[in-house]
Amino acid sequence: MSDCPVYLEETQESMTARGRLSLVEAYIQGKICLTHRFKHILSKCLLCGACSDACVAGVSVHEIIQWARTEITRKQKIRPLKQLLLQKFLEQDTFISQLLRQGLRINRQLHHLSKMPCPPKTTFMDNTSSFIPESQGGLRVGYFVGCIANHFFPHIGQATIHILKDGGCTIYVPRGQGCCGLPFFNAGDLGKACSLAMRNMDAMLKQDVDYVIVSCAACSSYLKDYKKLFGSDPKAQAFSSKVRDISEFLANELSYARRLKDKPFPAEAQTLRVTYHDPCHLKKRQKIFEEPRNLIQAIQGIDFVEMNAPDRCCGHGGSFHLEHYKLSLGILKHKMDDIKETGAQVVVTGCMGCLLQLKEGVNSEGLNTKVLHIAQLIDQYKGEPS
Amino acid sequence: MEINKKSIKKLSSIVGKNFVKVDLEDRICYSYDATNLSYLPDAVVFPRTTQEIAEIIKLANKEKFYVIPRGAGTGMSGGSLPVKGGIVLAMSRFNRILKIDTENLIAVVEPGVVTGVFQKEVERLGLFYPPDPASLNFCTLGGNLAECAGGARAVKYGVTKDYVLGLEAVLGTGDILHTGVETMKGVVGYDLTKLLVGSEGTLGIITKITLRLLPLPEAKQTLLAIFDKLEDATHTVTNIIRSKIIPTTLEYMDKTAVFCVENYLNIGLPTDAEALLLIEVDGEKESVQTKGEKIRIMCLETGARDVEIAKNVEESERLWQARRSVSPAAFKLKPHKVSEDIVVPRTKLPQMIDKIKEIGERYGLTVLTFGHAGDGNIHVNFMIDQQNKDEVSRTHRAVEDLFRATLDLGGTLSGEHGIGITKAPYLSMEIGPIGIDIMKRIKQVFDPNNILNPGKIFVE
Repeated sequence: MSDCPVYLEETQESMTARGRLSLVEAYIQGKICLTHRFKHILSKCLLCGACSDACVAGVSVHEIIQWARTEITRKQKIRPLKQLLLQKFLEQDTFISQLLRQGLRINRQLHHLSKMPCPPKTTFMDNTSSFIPESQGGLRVGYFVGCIANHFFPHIGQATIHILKDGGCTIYVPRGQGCCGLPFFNAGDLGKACSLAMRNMDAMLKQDVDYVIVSCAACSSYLKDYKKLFGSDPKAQAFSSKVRDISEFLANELSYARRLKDKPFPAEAQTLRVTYHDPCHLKKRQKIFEEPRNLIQAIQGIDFVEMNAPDRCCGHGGSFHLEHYKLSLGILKHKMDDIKETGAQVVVTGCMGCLLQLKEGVNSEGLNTKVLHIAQLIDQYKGEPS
Repeated sequence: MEINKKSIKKLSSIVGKNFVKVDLEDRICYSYDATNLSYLPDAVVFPRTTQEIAEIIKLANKEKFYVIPRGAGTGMSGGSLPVKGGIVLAMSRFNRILKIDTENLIAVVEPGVVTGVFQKEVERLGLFYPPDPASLNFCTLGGNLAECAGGARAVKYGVTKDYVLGLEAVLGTGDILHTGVETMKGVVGYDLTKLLVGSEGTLGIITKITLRLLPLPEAKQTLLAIFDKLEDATHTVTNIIRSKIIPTTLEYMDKTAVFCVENYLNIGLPTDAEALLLIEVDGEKESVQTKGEKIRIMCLETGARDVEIAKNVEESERLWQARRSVSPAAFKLKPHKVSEDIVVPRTKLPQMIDKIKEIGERYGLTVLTFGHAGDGNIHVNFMIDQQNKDEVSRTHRAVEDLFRATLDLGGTLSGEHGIGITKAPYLSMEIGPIGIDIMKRIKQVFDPNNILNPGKIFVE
């Protein structure tokens, strides 16, 4: 209860794990139906998993909420407009997606979306070939870009490629990949989630890669869950076992921290105070929290400081941010206070949703703090290829 | 006494429309507590100020509806259940820490502050609020006061009432009462503060609390002692107390509890052991080590098979995890649990444990005991299936025997859970007719129209 970021803002039992589970139970028992209120309560969950993490009885609360949402989508014939637009936007390579993208560029006043970064003219995929030339080495990796890096932050995609190259990998950026499907899964649209997953698996497995590298924590956690989505399907099992989050891959498979330690800190550079925000999808879902810290601390000249409650959700929660904008900002406020308290010049994270959210926080509070993806930080300090 | 539409409208005008909920979904969420019993309220109201509560209570007197105050709904005796309908007064918006006075070692808080959050705040300042009910990460200080919650540290530091200096409360008449002091001492008039603490929301609604704080102990050490014989464990408890070392906590888990937890967490607890003792000492660094060593030797002398000392915070956390998981793990045995929290004088602990075993056998029930052995407060859990009517009726008889045995040994029915509804039928076993009569007359003075939390403590 006191772990739920939404409850801490709303302070009502219906916003706690126990309240939501009671309602799902009441629904199964036929005591309540799919009322507007019930749907509203279920939609006000970040699926951050803080409650599941805290539960001594080991109840996977977020998976139960997920199930209930699937139930709603299954029973409801008409899709809310927001969900429909989101779907269209995330389906890359379609005419409507392009249209929406350009619309987002032109109409900066549009709703609160105006606070989001302006997407550049061309996407990451537009500018990157399916095989990175001159990349060579033992490990064959496929880079899974993800929607936000593709549309909003192509430079993060580039940074990831630079590091993988430096780490001696043969890099593919397979065509045919697209949205990981998590927004649809979270919204309860299993059909769409499965078809997207299928497309991504086909694209990646075609290249016969050793690892699928993902630079967004939400995507990496979800790609690892494909095996759950398809039950015991061997293809999904094989695919999911290849998936690595970028910080996990760098720290474990490439032992990149050692490499970073050997890089001299540029003489002209000043010591940088850095703090790290744990994405829910990295720490709570994948138990990855030491790896990014080890990498950051391995960089010479970085003064690493922990913020208070680094694993507290930033409040983005994917489409939660669009659906419950005010609430999302209320949750963000605590995160911003914790960041400010550290006095850090740079806040690093590993999830594109968190990145968008933290950037919005920094902008709206007019702070000088830089928000960087861990790949960007490492790329800046890794020095020239050796 | 169902609430009418007019009253709902008036409530909305007092606290604002958004803070009155009448949807079934919201009412369901306020129908239960940790007892797993459920009663639907007519509405849920979220006040923000003392004045609002006073107006609500006045309205309730006029329109005749019940008002049931609720903290986080983690109570173990049904204290916050709307057994007769009415409105649940959810105190969650009273969640501010108003003052932490590091010079005078006191704090002023609102009742909706989560106990664990408050503890972290004062600990940041080198101060200490000891009461630590197992639900401290969720439960609120207001609820702790209403039930006079205890916790594992009670053996050394006492329970909630030992830390309450003063209160602001809205009575059943709608009047606002200020009790107690902001000083370390005070004997002016009757002690209404202590009267309200543990009154289970039947006398008034607590709206502001002044608490006493202690300096935070410098260090602590956690030990886990494993016993092959149950009586060795209970005798060790009495030995430790007799030797005049008061540990911070002295927790006990029986064989069934160990088995459940290990099955559940797989953290390497010895499932062949008959009992475990989880002991913690605190104080200055050197004294903690000496005390820890003394206790370790004492455990071994009275038959412990092994004593493990936590080397760091993580290890101590692992040991505590075992203790905290007993309650949820117990449900793996049977779907329901009838849980009592009797207390006996500490020297009578071995006898009481024997008695509990005997009662379980007599009625053919699975009993799981654990709890605060150091202060004689044992949680006795009869694990049952409520579908099984015969088992339910056997449990009723077992509970009565348990209470009888407890009182015979000079104990009391509840150490820290309160009477609520689950123990109300047994109240007269411990409190004589004069005592009950006085209590009922006090209730009359505070709440003449019986608006506040009806059906609790006394059988009506």
